[in-house]
Amino acid sequence: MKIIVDRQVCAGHALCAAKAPDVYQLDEEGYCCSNGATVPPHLHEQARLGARHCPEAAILLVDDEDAP
Amino acid sequence: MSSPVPVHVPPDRVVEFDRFTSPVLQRCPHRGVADLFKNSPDIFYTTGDRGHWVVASATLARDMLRQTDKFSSDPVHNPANARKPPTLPNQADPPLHTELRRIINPFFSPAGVQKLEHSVRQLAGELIDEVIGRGHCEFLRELAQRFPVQLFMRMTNAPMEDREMLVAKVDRFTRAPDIQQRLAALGELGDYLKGMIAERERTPGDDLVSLAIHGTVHGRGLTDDEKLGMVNLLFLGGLDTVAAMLSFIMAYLGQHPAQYQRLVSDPELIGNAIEELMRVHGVAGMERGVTADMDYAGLSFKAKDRLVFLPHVYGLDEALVDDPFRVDFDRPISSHLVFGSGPHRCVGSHLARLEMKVFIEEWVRRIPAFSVAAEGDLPTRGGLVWSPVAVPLEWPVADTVADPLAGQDQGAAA
Repeated sequence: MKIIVDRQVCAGHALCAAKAPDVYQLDEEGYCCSNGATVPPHLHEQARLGARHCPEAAILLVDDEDAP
Repeated sequence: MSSPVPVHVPPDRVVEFDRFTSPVLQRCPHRGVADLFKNSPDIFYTTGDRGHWVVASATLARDMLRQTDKFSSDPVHNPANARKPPTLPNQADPPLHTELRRIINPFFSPAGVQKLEHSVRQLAGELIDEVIGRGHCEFLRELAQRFPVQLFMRMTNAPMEDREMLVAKVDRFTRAPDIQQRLAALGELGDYLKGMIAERERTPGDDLVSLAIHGTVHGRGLTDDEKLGMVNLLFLGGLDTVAAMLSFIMAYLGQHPAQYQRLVSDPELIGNAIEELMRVHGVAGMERGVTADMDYAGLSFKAKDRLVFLPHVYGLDEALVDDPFRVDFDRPISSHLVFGSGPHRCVGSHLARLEMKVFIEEWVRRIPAFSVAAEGDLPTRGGLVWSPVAVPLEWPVADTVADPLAGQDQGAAA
């Protein structure tokens, strides 16, 4: 699973990192900087939880075979 | 104050509502305005407060707040919201907005505010311990207007003796129904802050004001107006919003003892509970100006049309949340727009969440049961930020535990 974050849309709510701290990292300004990161299988559920909480719907999770 | 309906507004889109004076704001404003929105067009026009559109749909609000090129924060496109001094960066559009935000973002990031947790917890405990032995307090004045405000005064290194004077000015700017009174209060605050800025320019410190005024945008220093605008907004945001929100939340918990008991028996729930209670008790709004004549969502806007957003009640929109009036600490997601949406998301959101969570943790530790010492619904006030008028609370002193951490190693929790 791969994380795609739309940095134009991310507004720094930081709920992704609050709900899924093992998956999403924040930059110095508090915006999600996990674009392109690969999620190991045991963290897939946490990654989905964090993505669902994004109020801007800025996070897309793609399966490895669909990854660009 | 009423104003004429512009000719481009369809008559079936006009709804009477004044965000400062409508009677619906004087008790249970969230329920009242959510009901009004449910029975109104998605976007309606009111002649109140000099005339403006009101976006009643959470879904449209979210869409519009993202489109800064169409719906601008710059008063050039919304002359009715021009302020002297300005407030920044909320009255700027990208790219200037982005640059101004960068100056203060690291301070207010989740990692930035985490550094403050120890002092937040200490102050919360001290203030609660001051009133705990008497078994009652007026929460708004005795705790809510002191806890976040004193923390803010420390962050900005402002003189603590000016606290009440500043809170009063911000209150007037936020809630006086007459625009001239609001602007006068803002002018007075601006004059005060000019003195503070001059002082920090001479002797910069490691405080938030020094940080804000010494930033750069596009490789240049800030203009005097930009410096004042930045500091101005910090004070407007820091002195009122958390006080109002925390007061609404404590009033709710005092009126719903079974919900409060859940937090006492399982403090791990407090984070979720705050998110859910914020959802139903939004406090602050914002506005935008239309940048050019355009059709949007079945309406024809004219350039410089004024749009008012009320995130106070967007969390009560059925399109956003199922069964929105049910307060449920176990909701998987408490969707709301209390901190706004899009690039102008409230910069203080992480600090606000931390302050409220820590405060309620410290309250729960000490006071196992409390109630609101008044019958019926509490009086409230509208304005730019909604607030209870007063929140009288009482509790049985015999059950309380003042300073429950005394004697323990507090460093272990830090």
